[in-house]
Amino acid sequence: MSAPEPAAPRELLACLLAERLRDGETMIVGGASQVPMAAGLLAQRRHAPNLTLLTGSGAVNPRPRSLPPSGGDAEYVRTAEAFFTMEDVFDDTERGRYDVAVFGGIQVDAYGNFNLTRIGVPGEPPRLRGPGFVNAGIATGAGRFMLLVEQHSPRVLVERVDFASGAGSRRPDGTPYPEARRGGGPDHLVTSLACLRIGDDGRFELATLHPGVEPATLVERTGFALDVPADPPRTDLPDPEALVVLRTAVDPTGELRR
Amino acid sequence: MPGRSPKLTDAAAAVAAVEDGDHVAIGGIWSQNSPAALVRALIRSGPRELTVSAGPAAGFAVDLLIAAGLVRRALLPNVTFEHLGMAPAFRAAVESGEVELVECDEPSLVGGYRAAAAGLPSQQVASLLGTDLAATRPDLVGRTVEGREVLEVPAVAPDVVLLHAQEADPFGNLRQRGTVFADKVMAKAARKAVLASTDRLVGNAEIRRDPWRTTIAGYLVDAVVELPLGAHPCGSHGEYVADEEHLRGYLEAQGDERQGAREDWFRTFVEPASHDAYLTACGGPTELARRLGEGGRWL
Repeated sequence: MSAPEPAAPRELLACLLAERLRDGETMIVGGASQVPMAAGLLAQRRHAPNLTLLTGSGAVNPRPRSLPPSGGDAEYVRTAEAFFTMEDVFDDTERGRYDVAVFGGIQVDAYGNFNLTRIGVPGEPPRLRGPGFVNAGIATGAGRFMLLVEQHSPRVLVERVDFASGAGSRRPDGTPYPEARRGGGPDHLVTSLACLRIGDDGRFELATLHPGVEPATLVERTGFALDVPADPPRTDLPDPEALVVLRTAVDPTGELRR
Repeated sequence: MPGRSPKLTDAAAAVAAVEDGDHVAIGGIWSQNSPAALVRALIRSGPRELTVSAGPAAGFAVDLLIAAGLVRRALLPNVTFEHLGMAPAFRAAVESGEVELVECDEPSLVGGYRAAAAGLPSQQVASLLGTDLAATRPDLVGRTVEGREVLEVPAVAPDVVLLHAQEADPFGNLRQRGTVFADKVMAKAARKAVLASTDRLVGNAEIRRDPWRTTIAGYLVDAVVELPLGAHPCGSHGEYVADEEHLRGYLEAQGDERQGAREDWFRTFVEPASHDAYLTACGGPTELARRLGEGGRWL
C-alpha cells in the first residue's frame, strides 16, 4: 500500500481529537461540529468501538455515509440506532452522564473558559453577539471536555474571555469555580498550530507543536501567556492507517479536505 | 350523537391565536422540523411585542420572526445557521438592544418548560451553579435541598407553540421523524394553544394502524394545518432536506445594504398569502421535491 497523502489541516485536527477519545466514553456533539463528529466516528472505527456518539440531530450512534456539515443533518437521523429528546439532554446533563464533549468558541482563554455568547462590556449591548451556548451545563457536568480551535489566533485565544459561556478549570480571573461542580472540566486544547493540555495550575500548557510551526509563531499567535521552549516536542502526524479509515469510512467525499 | 371534532384549519386562522405580547415557542431544531410556513403566516398576521423561545436550538424560523420585527423579548440559548453562518437578524437585534435577550441554555429553558408542563413554579437544576450564565439571571434562586446546592429555574410557559410534523390526522395526532426534540415538552407547557403544520394529512385509521409512531397525542394539540413542504426552507426528516440555496439567499438578503433588498426578499417569500404561491416563488413543488426530496430513501 502506498502512503496516503499527508493530512489536510482539518483531517489532522480530527485525528488528534480522535486519539484523545477513549473506548467506552459517551460523547455529545453539538451543531457546527464537523471535525468533532469526524473524530468520534473515526475513534469508533479504530480504538473505541464502544464510544457512544450522541449528535445534535438527536441521533444516537449514526453511521453517516458522508460527513454532513450540519450537526442536525438528515443523514445522521437516517442512519441512527436511536434518538434522544431534549428532556433526555436535560436529565443526562444534570446527572452528568456525558463523559466527553468538544467545544470551541469566539474566545477561549488559558483556563479553558470558552465564549460563544458575547464580546463587549457586561451590562451593555454586546459589540458582537455570538450564536450562544446551547448547554452551559454540559461544560460543568461532563466528565471532561476538549477544546478545538480551527484557526489559532490571538483574537480567539485570549487571556480572559469576555463571557464564560462554558466554564473552564478556573474562572477567567483565576479564582476557583464552586465546589458543587461535578464535571472534570477541560483537559485538551487542539488547534491548527499545537496541542495543549491543562497543567497543575489549571492553565493550558504546550504539549506538542505541530510539525513545521516555529515556536515563535505559536507565542505570537497566542493571546495568553504560554511557555514555549526553543525546541518543543512535536505533534506526531496521524497514523497512515487512521487517515485511510478517515478517508474511506468517515469522510469518503473529502469534506475535511475542502 | 355528536361526532369527534376535527382540529383542521388553515394557517391564517391557526395563527390568529397569537395576540400582541404573547410568548410564542417554535419547535424543531436549527434548520430541521421547523414550522416555517406557520411562522410566515404569523408574520403576515403581524402581532407585536412577542416573546420568542425555541426548542431550544434555533435557526431560520426564529431569525425570520426577529427579522420581521415582531419580537421584543427572547429566551434563546442558541440561534445559528451553523455552517452557513451566524443568524443575522438575531445578532443585529441583540447587538442593537432591539430585542431583550434573556440568557438561558438547555437546562434553564427546557427545565422551565418542564416545570410549566407539570404546572409547577420551578425546576431544580445544578449544572449551572457558579456559571456566568447563572450570574446574568438573578431570577434563578439558589437553595440547599438535602445538603445539595441547586438553582430554581422558573417555569417557562409559552402562550402558543408552533410545531411541524411529517404526518398528522385531523384530531391532532402527530407523527414526527427523527426526535421530538423539545416539541412535546413545549406542547405540554403551552398556556393557550399548540398549532401544528403537517406535510401530509392522514386519516385516523392510518394513525391507529401504527399508534407507536404517534409522537405527540392529539389531546395536546389544538390545530392542524396541512402544508406540504411546510417546513421549507428547513428540512422535514424523511420528506425533504433543508434548502441551503434558499437559506443562503435569506442570509444574503439580510446582509444586503442596498435600499429595499431585504424588503424585496420579504415581498417574494413571506408576503404571498397562499402556501401554493410561496412554493411557486421557490421554484414549485415539483422542482423542490426533485432538489430536496428524500425520495423514499427513508423508509
